Amino acid sequence: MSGGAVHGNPPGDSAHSEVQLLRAFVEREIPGRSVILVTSARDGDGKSLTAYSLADCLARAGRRTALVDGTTESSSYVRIANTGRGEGDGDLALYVPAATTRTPLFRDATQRFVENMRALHEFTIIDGAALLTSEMAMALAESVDAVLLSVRLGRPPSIDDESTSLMLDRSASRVLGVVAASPEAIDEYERRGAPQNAGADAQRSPSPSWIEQIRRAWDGGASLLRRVAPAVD
Amino acid sequence: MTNDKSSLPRVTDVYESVRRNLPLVACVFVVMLLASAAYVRLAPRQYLAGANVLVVNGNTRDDPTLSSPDLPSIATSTVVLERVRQDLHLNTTLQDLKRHVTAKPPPFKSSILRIQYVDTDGARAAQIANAVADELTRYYREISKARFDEDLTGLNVELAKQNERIKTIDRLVGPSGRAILDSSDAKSVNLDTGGVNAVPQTNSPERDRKLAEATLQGDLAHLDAVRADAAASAQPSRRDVLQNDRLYQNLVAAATSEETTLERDRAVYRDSYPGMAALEAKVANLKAAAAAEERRALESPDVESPSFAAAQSEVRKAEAVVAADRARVAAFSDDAGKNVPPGTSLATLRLERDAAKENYLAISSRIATALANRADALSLGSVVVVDRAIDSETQIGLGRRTLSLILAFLIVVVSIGSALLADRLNPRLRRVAQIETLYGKPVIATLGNAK
Repeated sequence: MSGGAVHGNPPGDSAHSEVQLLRAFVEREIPGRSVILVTSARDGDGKSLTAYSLADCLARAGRRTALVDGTTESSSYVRIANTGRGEGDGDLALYVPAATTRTPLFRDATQRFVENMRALHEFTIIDGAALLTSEMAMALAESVDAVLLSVRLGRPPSIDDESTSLMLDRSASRVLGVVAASPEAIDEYERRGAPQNAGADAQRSPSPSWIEQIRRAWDGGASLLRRVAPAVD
Repeated sequence: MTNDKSSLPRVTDVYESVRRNLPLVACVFVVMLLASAAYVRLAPRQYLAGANVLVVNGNTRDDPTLSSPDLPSIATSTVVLERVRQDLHLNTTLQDLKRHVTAKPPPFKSSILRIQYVDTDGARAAQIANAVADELTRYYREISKARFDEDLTGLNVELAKQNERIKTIDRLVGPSGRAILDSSDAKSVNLDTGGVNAVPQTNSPERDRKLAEATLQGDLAHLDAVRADAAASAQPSRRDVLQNDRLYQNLVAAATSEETTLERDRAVYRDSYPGMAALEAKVANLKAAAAAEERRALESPDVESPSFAAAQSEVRKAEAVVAADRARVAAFSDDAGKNVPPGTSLATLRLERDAAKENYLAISSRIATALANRADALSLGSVVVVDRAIDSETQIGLGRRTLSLILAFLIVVVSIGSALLADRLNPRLRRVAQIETLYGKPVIATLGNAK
């Protein structure tokens, strides 16, 4: 699913420190120029929240970071925003699918996409779909440098969890670990990314309200496609 | 990175768990509160009362009968407790009594034996504790001197037998014979050859019998004399009684009158007078009536003749004396044949008497020894109650306040524990450990505070 990209808590909150720890862990475990897929066993497990929080934190740390909406299968992606948040902050590039496709994505296309993103950015965080429901996610899992699993705290376990874990093991993907997201944080993120906020224009220039900027850029994906932006495939 | 990897829940986790399971916590709390309140209110109190008994040890320890370590066993024995139960008319069974009584042996270098009893009633606990202590004292004395008492009983019986034998011999020989038997000069007593102070061989009982018979004869003669006097005085006495009996006098007068008339008519008319038979019958009836009246008057206890009454009294006295003499004669006849065979010499009696005396002295000595041993056994040790239990207010176990506090703490713990248990049993992913177990991967971050 797609929605407003928002880090559920403002800077300085204890949860923000958790994201900082996550960023530090990722930076330590993965060298630069890497692509990380954020996926989950089931929808609503906080993949977008995790992806956005990590991407934002990496960008704040001065890393050239890209955040890709990988929830919809697409053969190409377009950069819709490039937010700079002041001196010392790195860029956070937002990529959305340029066109939806119902055709299966070939693995070599996925491979090329990953290589391109690796060349353009230090860190590329892909907000993927649930692994078991998306061939693209499965293809990406085999191509990316690392996979982060997201799970919603408080939900009952299901067979999908075990299946996802087994699938990742078979794909020989490197799974960094699991990020547990609280239901409140996920709900807050979804609330801010409500449909009434769809259609807002994404601003290219950095602004103090970069969170709002990202959120608006993510809403109403179809209208954003009209912008002229270099397509990445 | 997450540091939520400890096995023990944090305070925030507990709070969240309780908040999530608030209805369950509330139910458990209310139920436990009600149950605890009922228990505190209805739980029976137990009171402990104790009596102290001093064990006094004697100077010697030759008697191995009892020792201090045995006293607790004796105090809680069924013998002592059964006596206590009967004395106090307790409804409790012997088993319950035994279960609630304890006797603590004297500590090292102490001689105090403590007897304790637990009961739901403080006053009864004290009463039973005191009763056990008292009964222990009595029973201790009883078993200390029991064996000596049995010996003394037997010895006293034997002593009495010897004493009776001596008295029988003394009675047989009489005072003179007893003086001879008691003489310590052997020469003066030449019983068989008829020495200086020899006493003829005779049967004292036979002589007494003859004497009694002579007395009886004399008393019989006296009785005859008294009867004769009574008979002699009966006639005047009879006359006095009949003279005072008007009915008798009238009947006699009427009979005499009719008889005179009858004789006259018989003389005049011979036997051919038609009313002769009736007249004769009338005379006969009157005489019979007079005789009956005479009999009645003489036999009546209200007879008015003092002399006649005195004579009758003398006769009765004499008859009583004769009866006593006859009884004495009969008794002498029985004894003479049983105790002493004819021809028994004083020498033999003396030997028997001496033997009985020696036995008497020997038994007396043994009795003295037994008494001394008994006294010695009692002096070896005794048990004395030195501290009696009073109505106990000492409640064993927890008081209601303490119990309430403990239960309140337990209620809180269990209520919270029920929430944690519910979470444990809830398969939802709430803890890091669950997620790591599920995926087999470490949890590296937790986003957002679980509220």
